[in-house]
Amino acid sequence: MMELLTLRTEDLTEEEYAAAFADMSPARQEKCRAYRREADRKCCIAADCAVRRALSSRYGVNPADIEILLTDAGKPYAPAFPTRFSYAHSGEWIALALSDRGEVGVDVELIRPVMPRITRYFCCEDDLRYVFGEPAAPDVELLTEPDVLSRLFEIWTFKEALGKAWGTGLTRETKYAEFRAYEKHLERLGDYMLCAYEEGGTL
Amino acid sequence: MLERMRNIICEFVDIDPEEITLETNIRTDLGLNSLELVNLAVEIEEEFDVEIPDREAMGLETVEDAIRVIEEYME
Repeated sequence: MMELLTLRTEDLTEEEYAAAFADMSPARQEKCRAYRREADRKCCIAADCAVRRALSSRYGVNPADIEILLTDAGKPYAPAFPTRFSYAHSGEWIALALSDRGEVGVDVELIRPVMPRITRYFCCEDDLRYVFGEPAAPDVELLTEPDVLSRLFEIWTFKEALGKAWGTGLTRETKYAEFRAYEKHLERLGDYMLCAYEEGGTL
Repeated sequence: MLERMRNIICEFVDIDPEEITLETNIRTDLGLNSLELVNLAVEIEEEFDVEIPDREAMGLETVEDAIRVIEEYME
């Protein structure tokens, strides 16, 4: 069964951030330092910290002793443990999904007005019907209607989670994977949408 | 081209345009996540009147990459 954890960047103290950064591998520290904005660096550290704490809780090991690597496609994994995991962050939220059953992906995103043309990158025809009630996005400059945005961000976060689980990111395959055909977990965190997907979940 | 790219990027990120160079990494230097990258791709398409294939848009890493793709699809 998939485990889903969420935390906010404010949940860690500065001392915990410093300690968590020290636990990161040199490669991950370098990736963290590359972020220009401090908020992004904090999210990177907090996500790493959350993974270590979760695996430490599951396996009874010291968080600092957990090695976290990235595949060539950028998918994180801990080689010493069978648990798969995925993390995401947006604004103040960090989300972590873990599974002992299969690959897993998670995404969290702030719901906000967007240009309808972005649907071309991640929505198939059935997805568009789900969001707009017809197989095309409206010809408007910006989508602002709350229910439409909510449904659109359900799909966006699902496609991102799916791409993470598959280890591919957004691709033509994730675009044409029909949102309504997959079993997934959707959750509102205030103004944010969260989706977690565990491989093997199809209707 | 770089100047026009700077103007577009500055609509997304609070940054001094002069800090944006060809080597600027769109994800790490600008802190853009996937959704912001998609929005940027759409803005680029509208500014330069091109259509960028999905795989190209999601594969953009630097400003130089973006300009190269634009020039390729403008031809």
